[in-house]
Amino acid sequence: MLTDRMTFQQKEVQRKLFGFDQPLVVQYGQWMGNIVQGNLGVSLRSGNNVVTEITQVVPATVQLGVFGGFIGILLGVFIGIISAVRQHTLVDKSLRFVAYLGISLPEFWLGTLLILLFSVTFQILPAGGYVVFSEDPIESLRVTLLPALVLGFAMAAFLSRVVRSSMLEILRQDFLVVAKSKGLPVRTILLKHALRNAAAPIITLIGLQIAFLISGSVIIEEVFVRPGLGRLLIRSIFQRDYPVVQGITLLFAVIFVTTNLIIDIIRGILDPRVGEAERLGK
Amino acid sequence: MILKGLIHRSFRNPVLLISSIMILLVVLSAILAPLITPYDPSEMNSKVRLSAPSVEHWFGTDQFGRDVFTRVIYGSRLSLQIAITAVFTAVVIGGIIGILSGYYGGWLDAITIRIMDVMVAFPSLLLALFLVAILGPDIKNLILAISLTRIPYFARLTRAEVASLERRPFVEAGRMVGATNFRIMIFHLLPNVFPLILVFATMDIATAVIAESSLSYLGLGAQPPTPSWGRMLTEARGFLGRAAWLSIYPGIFLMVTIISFNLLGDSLRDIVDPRLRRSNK
Repeated sequence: MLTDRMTFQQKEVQRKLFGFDQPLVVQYGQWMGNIVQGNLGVSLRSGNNVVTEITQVVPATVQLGVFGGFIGILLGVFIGIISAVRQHTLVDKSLRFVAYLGISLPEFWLGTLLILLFSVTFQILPAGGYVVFSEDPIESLRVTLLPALVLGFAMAAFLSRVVRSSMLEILRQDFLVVAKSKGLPVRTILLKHALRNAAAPIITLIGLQIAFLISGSVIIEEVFVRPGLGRLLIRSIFQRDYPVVQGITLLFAVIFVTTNLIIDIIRGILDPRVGEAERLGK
Repeated sequence: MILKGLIHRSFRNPVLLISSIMILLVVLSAILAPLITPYDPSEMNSKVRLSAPSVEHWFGTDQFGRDVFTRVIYGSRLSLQIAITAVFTAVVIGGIIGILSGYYGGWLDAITIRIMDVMVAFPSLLLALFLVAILGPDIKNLILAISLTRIPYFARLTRAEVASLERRPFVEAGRMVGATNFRIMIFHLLPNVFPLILVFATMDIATAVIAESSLSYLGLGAQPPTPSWGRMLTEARGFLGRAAWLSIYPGIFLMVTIISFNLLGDSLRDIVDPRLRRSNK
């Protein structure tokens, strides 16, 4: 819509059209007014509605986030439980070392390593791109596997530490000794009795990780050339497409606030003491 | 005395020893970059484009025939400069905010800490990304953005420490002999919170290096031809199949630097605050 080869008059017309000739406060007020009506403005680059621009790329990011989050939670809880049960053994130490790596490695470096290993050396997985799930489910998952692994690994690293320490605390308590002496199978004890009681801090962390999943996906989408929210954001920043950048920022902020609220509610349900303590506190 | 204790401990603590040596090597290579590197970081040579690692070019060359070893070493210079400057700024500003609001308390403290909480709630990488996007991508703005996102962590840390120290008898004693508030903050509180701040600053350098390289990877950091690890990894993306060395060497240096600062921070924390170690096990 806007190009470098425009005459001064044409530019002025466009400035008026987009309202850039107004003071910033007025522009902000208009923007806020439009949001309430579900209108995020028009992309300066394509002329499309920002809401359309965003909804077009959301599926790619949601798929990555859900898949990555799934891997992260599964891996994190698994590593955490194993390392708590086998505390101070070699297994525990090596798992904790892996978690340490996961926290230390930047996503783009881990992603590059995985591409080198699986796409360049073994050539079993695609190095990037995106396939719509409804068109070809298997290929779509294959394309998403590497980016989801990167996202999930980083998440699992944080999660496993919290799972480990809260499981260690729970495992020492009397009711687990009772469960053991009743002769319950180990799996029932760990998953049903211990994990449920260790769940509150874990759920809180998973909620906080939603924000992390989003900021992680911005970089991971760039590494794996995946057309999602992150890539749209980066491209819009470079093209100074302010309405799109504003729209994505707003979306991120709304997601953070909503997840924090949901997590607080779930915590209250899982551990009635939390809700009770807050009521008594007031 | 602290230094003597550190050296003494490091012989019994291999993690501390190894991470210190690694950091020393990275810092030395950053300082002595022009002396140890055989080429100029932006010197192009069309005859040796994309040549594999060899005796002349230890880490190979890139698509412009630039020496990767030279660029990796200069990259450590940039990363450390940015990370250390950003963390130092964050420590000073965050520390001042933390001491003031922890010492005086009251409504000023309440407002400050709410602002800090809001800043922490947003992922710091995204916050830095938006800041650089607004300010424009260059090294100065990158440092500014990274340090701004780190300030709340140091402010909260310092405030919590100061608030707990403030009730201790030595502060009371200081007041009783007529020390001014300024004197108590500088000579009584600061020396007590300093070791803890130093530990977290060490760990935060790792975070700042990650932030710097991530933003550079996205093209929002140092602009070409300045050699930066993140930027080198972006530029190497098109050559993953043909010239893997373009990605591997900068990545390894990046990884070793981050892990070393993390490990050093962890071992220092165990020394400064043994309580944390016990609760961790």
